[in-house]
Amino acid sequence: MVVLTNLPPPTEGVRYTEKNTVAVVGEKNLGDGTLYIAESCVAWTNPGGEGFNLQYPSISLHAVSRDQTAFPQQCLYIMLDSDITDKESSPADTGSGSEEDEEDKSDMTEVRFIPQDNTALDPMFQAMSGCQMLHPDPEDLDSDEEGYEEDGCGDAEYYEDAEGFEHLTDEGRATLAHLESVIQVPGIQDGQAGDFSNTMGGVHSEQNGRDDEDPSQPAEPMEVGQFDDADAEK
Amino acid sequence: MASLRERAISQNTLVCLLQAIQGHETTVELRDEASVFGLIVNVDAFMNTTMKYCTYTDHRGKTMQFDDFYVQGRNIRFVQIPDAVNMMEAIEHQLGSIERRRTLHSQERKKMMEIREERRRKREAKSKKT
Amino acid sequence: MEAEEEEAVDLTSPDFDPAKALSSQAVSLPVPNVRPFENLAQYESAMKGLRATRKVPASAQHGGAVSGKSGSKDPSTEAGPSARSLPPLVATHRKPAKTLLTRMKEGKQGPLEVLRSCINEKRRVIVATRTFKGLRGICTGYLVAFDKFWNLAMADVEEVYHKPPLGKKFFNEEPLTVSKRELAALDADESDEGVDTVQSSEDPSETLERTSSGGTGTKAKKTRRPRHKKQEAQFFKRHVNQLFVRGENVVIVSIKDA
Repeated sequence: MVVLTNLPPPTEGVRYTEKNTVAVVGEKNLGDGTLYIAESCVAWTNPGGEGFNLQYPSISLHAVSRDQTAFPQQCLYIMLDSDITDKESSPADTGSGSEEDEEDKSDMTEVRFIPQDNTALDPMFQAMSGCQMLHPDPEDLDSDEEGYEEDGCGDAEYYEDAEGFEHLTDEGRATLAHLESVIQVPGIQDGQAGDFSNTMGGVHSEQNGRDDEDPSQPAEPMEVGQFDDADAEK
Repeated sequence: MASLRERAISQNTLVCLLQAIQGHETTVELRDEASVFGLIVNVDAFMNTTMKYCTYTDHRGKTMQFDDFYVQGRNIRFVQIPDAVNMMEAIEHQLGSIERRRTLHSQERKKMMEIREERRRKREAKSKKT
Repeated sequence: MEAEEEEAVDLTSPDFDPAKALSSQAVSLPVPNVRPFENLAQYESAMKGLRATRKVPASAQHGGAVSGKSGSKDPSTEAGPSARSLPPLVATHRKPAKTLLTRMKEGKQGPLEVLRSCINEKRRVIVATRTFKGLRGICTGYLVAFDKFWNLAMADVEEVYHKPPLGKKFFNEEPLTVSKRELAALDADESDEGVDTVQSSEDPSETLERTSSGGTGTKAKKTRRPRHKKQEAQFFKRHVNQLFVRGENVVIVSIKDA
């Protein structure tokens, strides 16, 4: 069966931790433990400090199962792309029993995490989805992204959201706060402007909403004026 | 929120067709012969697909119900496009909405540039005099 | 001196000094009611868009009411030395972004061009798809859209496929390959009624068996040969109105209606 090793739980990039979570790998119930959904891997450890890690690229799919006819408890269902249970024969597959079915076992492992608290399933699923996106298929990456280069986006790194500001030095934060105070973003009240973290939060949600939803914003406002004189050279 | 890079990928590949069927119910067929019928909630630039209210059928025909479902893009073989969707129109519409999100700040930028240009010309005139 | 300082932090000034402006408390914005860029990449992208077109609107050159069109001189020569000494400041045109659609229409030569011609000329294509190893099935239908990854959007698709066993058995199985005979069999499919049996090149005992009555929707018809250990392959046939095929699974695309 699954080899439990004595491994310390991940400490960095942990997006979600759920105590009192039962792990079931294949057909084997490993008992109660703690689930860690980290950016690098999914880990589970029992109170004795033994546990296992799952790497994101090996996770074919994950899902929330509340269908109690398929499995008696609501759980986070994970399918791995390889058989980690290493069993000789499957005791569970006695129903259909034919030789074909025995051989037809696919190369995968089902892992279920059953939290004592059902309401944890949604955040567990979301955390898994978020982390899974951090591990895109390497084959996807080596393709040249022509459009991407031509758009001028380059390989530039940038701060996606407020979390990114934690990296700033004190000086950097002060500068940012100052810049924030200079710019009067529509919808942000002056009183908030000094506190950059608040402001940034406000700015971002404000903008996102606007970008996605404001239909009154013309698709290419610049073009309107540009075409006025465009024919001057033709 | 999708990064610029992801947006560029969506804009330049057929991923945009899959993004156009977000909100539709359909069947996604996976590389391991399983298939999933459900509501397409989200498709990212890498084709990672989030679905809801799914019936999952494995390669032997055994079914499972999932409230939420996430599958990696590389495990997808086919996606059935619902009959109600006109694929070319859906692509065009989706590209249009990506482009709207891409075009930012244009008006502010234009105004700023006008002011700058005005200043530049004034300065030039001044320096010519001296 | 003070004026110089002011110029340095004035965003509209040609002497604007960003480094000074960052630390200065005296910065005033010419357009205070703005939405800031979310990040540097966004800014760079925008600036690149500006630089891509080095033009100054004619109207700006003439200053005020006279429109650029009425001027007899070429505005680009009028810009004169100043245009060379300073970077262009006014964006006049941002080239439309390339998209899937412009790329599909682009005249690049090569295999993708053939795909484009299949769309334009409404020719049906035969798309062979693969499993982890070997052939899985063959989709015949009209191509609607494609991209450089060979992702395909197809319409009116007939698919003939087999479900390979998974796991250990799968690795023992002989891989299927696309043979001319199989393709020929598909061609013959149009006119045939009833059952049509074809041998694959890999394994003479393996039979491809299909029914050619047109299925609707996506329901597969299953036919099963009497069992031959190991060499059995079950083939299914189905019809899908609209199908997206992930490029990774495409082995070969050939033109059916020559």
